[in-house]
Amino acid sequence: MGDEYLAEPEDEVAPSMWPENIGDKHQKQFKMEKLGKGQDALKDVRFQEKPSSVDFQRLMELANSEKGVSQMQYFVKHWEYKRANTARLLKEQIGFLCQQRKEIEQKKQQILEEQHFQDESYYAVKRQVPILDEVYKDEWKRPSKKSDDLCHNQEIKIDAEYDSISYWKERAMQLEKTLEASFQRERSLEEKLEENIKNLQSHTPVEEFSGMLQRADYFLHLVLQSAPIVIAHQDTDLRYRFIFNHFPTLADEDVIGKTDYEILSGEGIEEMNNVKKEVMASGIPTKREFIFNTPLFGAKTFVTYIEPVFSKSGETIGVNYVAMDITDQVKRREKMADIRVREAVQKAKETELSRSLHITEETMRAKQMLATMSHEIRSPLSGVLSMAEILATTKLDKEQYQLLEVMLSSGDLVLQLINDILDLSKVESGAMKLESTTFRPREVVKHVLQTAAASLKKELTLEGCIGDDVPVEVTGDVLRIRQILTNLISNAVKFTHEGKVGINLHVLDKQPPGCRIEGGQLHMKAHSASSVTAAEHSSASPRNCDKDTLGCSNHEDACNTGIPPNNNFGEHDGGEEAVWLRCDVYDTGIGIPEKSLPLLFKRYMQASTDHARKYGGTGLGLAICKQLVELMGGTLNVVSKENEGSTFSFILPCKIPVKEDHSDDPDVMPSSHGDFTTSDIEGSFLFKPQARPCLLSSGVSVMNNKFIGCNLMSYHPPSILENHKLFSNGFASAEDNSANSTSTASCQSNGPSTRSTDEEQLDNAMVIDLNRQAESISSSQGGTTSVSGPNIHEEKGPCKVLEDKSLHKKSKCSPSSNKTKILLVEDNKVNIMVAKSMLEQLGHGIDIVNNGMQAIHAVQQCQYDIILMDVHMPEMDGLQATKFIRSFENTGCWDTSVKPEHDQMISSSALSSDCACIRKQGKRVPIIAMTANSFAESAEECLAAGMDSYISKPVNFQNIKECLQRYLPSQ
Amino acid sequence: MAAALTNQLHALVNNMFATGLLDEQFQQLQMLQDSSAPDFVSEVVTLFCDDGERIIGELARQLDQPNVDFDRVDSFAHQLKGSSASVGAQQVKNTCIQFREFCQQRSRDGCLKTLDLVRTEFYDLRNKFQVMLQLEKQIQACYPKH
Repeated sequence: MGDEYLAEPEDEVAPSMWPENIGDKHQKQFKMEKLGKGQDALKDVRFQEKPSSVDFQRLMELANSEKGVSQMQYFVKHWEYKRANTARLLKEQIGFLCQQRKEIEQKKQQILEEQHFQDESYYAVKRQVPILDEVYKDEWKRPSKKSDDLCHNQEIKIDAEYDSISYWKERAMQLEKTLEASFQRERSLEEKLEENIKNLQSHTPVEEFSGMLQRADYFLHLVLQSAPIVIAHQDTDLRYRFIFNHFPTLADEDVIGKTDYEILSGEGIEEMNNVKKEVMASGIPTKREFIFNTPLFGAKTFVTYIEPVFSKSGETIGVNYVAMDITDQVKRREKMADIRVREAVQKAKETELSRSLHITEETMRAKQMLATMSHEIRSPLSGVLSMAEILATTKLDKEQYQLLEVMLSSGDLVLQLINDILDLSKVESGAMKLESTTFRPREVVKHVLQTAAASLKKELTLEGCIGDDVPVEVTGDVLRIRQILTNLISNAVKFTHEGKVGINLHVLDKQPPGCRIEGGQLHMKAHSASSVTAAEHSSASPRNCDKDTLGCSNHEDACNTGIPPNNNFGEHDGGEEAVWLRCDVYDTGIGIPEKSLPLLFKRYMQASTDHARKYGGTGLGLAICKQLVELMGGTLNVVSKENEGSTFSFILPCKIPVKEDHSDDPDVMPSSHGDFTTSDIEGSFLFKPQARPCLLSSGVSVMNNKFIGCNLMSYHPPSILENHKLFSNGFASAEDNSANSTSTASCQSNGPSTRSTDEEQLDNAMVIDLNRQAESISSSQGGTTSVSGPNIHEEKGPCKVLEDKSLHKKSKCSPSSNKTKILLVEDNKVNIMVAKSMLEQLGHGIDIVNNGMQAIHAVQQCQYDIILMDVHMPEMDGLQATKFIRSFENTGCWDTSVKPEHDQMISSSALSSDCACIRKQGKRVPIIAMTANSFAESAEECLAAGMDSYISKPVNFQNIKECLQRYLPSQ
Repeated sequence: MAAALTNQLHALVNNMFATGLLDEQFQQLQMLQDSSAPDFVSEVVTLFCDDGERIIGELARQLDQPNVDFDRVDSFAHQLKGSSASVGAQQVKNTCIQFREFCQQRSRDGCLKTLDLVRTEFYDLRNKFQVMLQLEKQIQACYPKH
């Protein structure tokens, strides 16, 4: 089909334009069907194609369709016109021929007459006789003229003598011949004419149509030969009756008479057939895209025009369709769409990113602001509180004392809040450093519970359960761990009105999946989880998994940033084992609604505003806990059920110290080894409500109780208290609990027990801290928890001294044995004067040098507890000096450019055994940069050079004090 | 007498704070002054004034040279900035920051202009400091009589 559309406009030109020889070439490919003008006419049509390409029976039927009829009518008209035209032409031709004949007759007559005359008169005729010349000159029949001309142009050559008898004879004979030839020509022309006439009659319309159709066919073929088009006709059963396919994958025989289903299978066939049926049913042509995916020709997209074919009577007798392969276009289109979508997504992302960037910047600024504000508030508040504390030691009447108590507790509350904020911003900004100490997890748990029990105001049971597999001692930042535990416990107590609150501590038998510990420093230890907690453990583990990656990265952080001050640690890395400790803090309290769980660890968020009103608190505690746990490389999760209770669980990687570590530490270890059988191995603690009155009424001083009471009111985590206590160096330290100092005042006589190394002090401080608390409460418990007496006495010294100092904050008469040594490296005289004055007021010994080179020499001479280093200095700047010092600490020898003289070295080590001893351990001295916050001195550079931190100049009490608190661990 | 002087002193110092000559760092100095170091503020301020005068002279001299060594100028400016920051001489410190920016840009004109400003501010501050120290001395002189 289809030719009817194309043939119509072309048929006028087709006969004259069509190249004659094109037919054969394309005969085979060309499968265009031919339409006759009517049923009768078609009978005579000669089909040149193989009948297999088209179902010709079908063609007859098609001819009956409306379109077929109109096509036929057109053909008839056209044929009639042509015939009339031919008839006219023939008539004209006949006219001409008649005329010619007449003329010839005339000529013949003339020649005969002339001949006669010439014969007699011997007139020589030289003139050639172009008999038909005039006729042919403007005649249409050129080719025949030529041959005629040839005849006539022949020279008549006569050899005989002119005008002789023989000459005339010859001439007469020649003329005779010419005449004969002329007759012959005439005859042949007549024959031709007759033949033409005969031919004309044999030119039937059928032949004419055949020719036309053939030409249209050729033309169509030329147009379509490289078009990716399939043209087909299907009958009502959707069987193919005709198909044109330029790139056939099937022979026509396989297609004609079959349905799509019989030929193809796969995606798209069903859909196309449905559409075809629809078209047949509705009688409305349609254009659609079909996506095919068939085994025959793979995945292709066709845009298909389907139109119904109607019979004369208006019945649908089939469909025509033209399908064009647009696979490439579709691909391109899809690509474009894809690109557009991506572009849009990209744009959206960019907008989102810039927005979040903006928000982040804003947040950072707000955080900074908050931190700064907190700083600003804390310093005067510290002053107020320490003054109030001192006031509390003076003579007061009862009412005054109560007022003061309220004042102190409120102050503590504010201070706690500020500390929380600062803690949080410190962790978030990455400035929080972890201290690595060896501690006993059992004691930590016990003390946290004891502290909570001591301040308990409710009828609650506090219990602790520690798995047998938990190592006696582990290494970690005990202060932070206590802070976390205390925070969680005080939270649990706060939200629990009856029942119990407890801690489960056990070793995780499996290190969290996906969490690799670098360098094999931490080895998984195969402990079986204790039976008590196994269920909880497994129930909560999916949650752990969620956060593992986070925990992992943080863990690396922790390992990278946290631990180093204690170099023993590093030395024994290879031999150390690590365990994952899992700690569950559970309660039977009000629980947390599920919808609040996601907000729980967010800053300033509480489960609900009601809770905030009812229970107070800032909502910072859990955020800090989470941050701290993650900083240490662990994860913190919560499982909770409303009205049934909550369980906060955290897991932490802890190293197990190698025992030999402490063999050089005779003060501590023997006694602790001795304790193994008693308190250290103790696996569970229970603090029943009824134990409380006895706790309060026993030997602890009234004041102590009151202060603990204050702490409870403010939900002041004791570990934070202790944290500051340990690190406070005696200046305006509000955290210093005067209660503690009074309670331990009696031990003053044991005071300056000598500490040979800082390392030892560190350990001791920790032990003291634990023991002190143990003592204060165990004594009130009637000594149920046994911590050996001598131990306490021996180790009470340093802490006592500190507390003593805190009471007399501005006196500069602190014991020299305990005085820290600070090296101030600064070139500016004014700065030196100010800093020196401040450090002296804080009670520290201070050496001053003016540049980096001198600083190195000073370090070579003596061991300092901390170095405050200006960055910008003549001769050698602070960064350079720090690098040299760090390099020495790492390698044990000085860079050649700054190497000390040999004898100097000997003398120095001989002079102070302290230094030599410490140097052997390769202790890392904290170096704090003093930066002017100018373009040349970036904090990153300082840290990169090996400095531990920086304080911005001008130095003031606040920043110098905080810095010293942080970096003088034993203070 | 002493009370009036004290008032005067407070007014002066407050004025210096209010006009931005000084910042809170100066309070730190005041905090450092106690019975163990009764003349601390005076000592520091005097040191600062002497040091500042020297540096300003040095700066002027450096900038006067045909080929200005801006690194040297910058290090002097840095010193002055450090000193002024330490005593809380806020205004001078800020101008020093400006000055150092010009140093970074290697702008001699900028440096000279800022040097003038620094000088004016410095001498203004020094005068006020001197008055302040004078007053303090007088107050201290008053006390034994009371």
